[in-house]
Amino acid sequence: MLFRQMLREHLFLVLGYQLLLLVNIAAAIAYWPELRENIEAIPAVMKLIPSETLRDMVFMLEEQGYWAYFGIQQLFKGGGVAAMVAAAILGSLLIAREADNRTAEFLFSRPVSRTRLFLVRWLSGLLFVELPFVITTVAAWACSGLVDESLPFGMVMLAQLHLSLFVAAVFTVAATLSTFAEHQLKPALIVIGLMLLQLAIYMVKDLWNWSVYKTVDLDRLLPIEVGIYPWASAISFGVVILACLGVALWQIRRRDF
Amino acid sequence: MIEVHGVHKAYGEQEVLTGIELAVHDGEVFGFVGPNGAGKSTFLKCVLGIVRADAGEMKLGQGADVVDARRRPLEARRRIGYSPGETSLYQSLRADDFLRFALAHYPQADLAAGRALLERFGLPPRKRIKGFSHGMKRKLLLSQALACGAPVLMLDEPMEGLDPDARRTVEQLLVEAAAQGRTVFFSSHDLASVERICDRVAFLRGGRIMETGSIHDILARASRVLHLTFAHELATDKLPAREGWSWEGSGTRWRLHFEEDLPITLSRLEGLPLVGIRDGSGRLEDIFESLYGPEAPAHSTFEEVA
Repeated sequence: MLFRQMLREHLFLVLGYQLLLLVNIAAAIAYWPELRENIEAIPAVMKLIPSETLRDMVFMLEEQGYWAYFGIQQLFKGGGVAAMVAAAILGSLLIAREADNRTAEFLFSRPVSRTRLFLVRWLSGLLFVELPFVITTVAAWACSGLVDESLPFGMVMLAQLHLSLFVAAVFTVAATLSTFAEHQLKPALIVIGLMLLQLAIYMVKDLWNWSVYKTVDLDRLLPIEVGIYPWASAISFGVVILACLGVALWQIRRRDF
Repeated sequence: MIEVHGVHKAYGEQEVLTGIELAVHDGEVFGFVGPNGAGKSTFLKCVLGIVRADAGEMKLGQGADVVDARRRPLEARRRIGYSPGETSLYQSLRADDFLRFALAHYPQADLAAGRALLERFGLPPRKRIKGFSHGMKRKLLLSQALACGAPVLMLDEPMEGLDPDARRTVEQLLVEAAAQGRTVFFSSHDLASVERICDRVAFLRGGRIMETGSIHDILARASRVLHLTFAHELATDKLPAREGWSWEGSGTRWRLHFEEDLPITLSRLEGLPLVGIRDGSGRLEDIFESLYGPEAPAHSTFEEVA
């Protein structure tokens, strides 16, 4: 019942997010044949790209072809930007929305423990963020044949798992802030602001090692093709998720509504 | 039953509840009365565990089935049908969906009874809550509280926003619930309803219970009051002073508290430029006025005022 209530509340938001992801990747795949035909011209235009980080990405595109393109378009852009924003918003709404809409008094008067209530909402929210992302990746993998490309499914799913962990960490940070917040979108604004700052840092090559986006960029994703999974980054995402869950559960148990 | 000892709650330096002591029995309708900000809603939230009490004991249940609400808040909430004072609800839900959501976690909930209550209140079950008026939302909240099957009903301002017909229906439902052995505890500013259906009442002020007692005893012990309207404004020194009399008010409207028989008092008022007299003796509203009106002493007990 708690899950159904969450679904009712967020259905249109989730559908909109799913649509956005699908449109983004559909446009990207449709553009690939044209880019593939002109890939030899890339070095000529690289000098025009202002960011060294972006130049590196384009260089990898030239080297690795469709796998790098897929990684940039679906995983780095779809997961690192679109899914990140969705995760920040849905995480932010998790508890703060109840406080902001003054429905918390009713919700927390139900005979359900706060731990269970939070965990059900957290899992539901995580599902709403991750499922459209996974569906889009699978759809993109399946549609690759339309542009005469193919990628090993296992490799794509491992890369997807890595990005999913990243998105789950962002979602959990926002959800944790939500347990403290009175305004439903304040945690989202904080998280999105910080992540945009991280993206800006990533674009400066001298600083990019200080950005969380370094943990999900092509340097981490492309080696999955040869069986090198970025365990260190994945474990750090897991640690962030568990630490944030601990703080969130401590806060939700002691908070007055 | 609800049994509460020494419940304290403070927000920072501000004490909201200071040592609440209460005992409400099975099958009793109990009114919780006090001005805005007295701590009524905070007390209800403390019992439910929505707000954490800083100290005190709280037990509730029915018969031998009693739980400690501070140590086992989840078990306590299973035994409480709660209607919050706040009527903000999930706007996108239909009334029937809301009812199912509200009752989902109560072991003894009766969805059919809830639907019957919606019908009795005239609430359309397929209509979305965003189209409901304040009073309709109040009825919806009361329906789920009554239908959850819990032995204790805790209702925060259940009459607020209701029309007179609906108030009478709610009064009847609460009396019926008590007759079934359920404990009915509600906060209210509607003193007429409190007077009509409560077995006992507690007066709260500044987070402290000033008086608890049966309605009958409180009304019997209350001072006798006449509401007087004069043809022109009178100063205090122009009002007659007698032993056992005290005056409250100003201008043309005054309240006279007296102890002797009414005819004697009326005869003593002859000669004054009166244009209106109303007997307010033995009404809860006047007791409330005495306890919480502008002339009430800051920290008086009921006995002192009466």
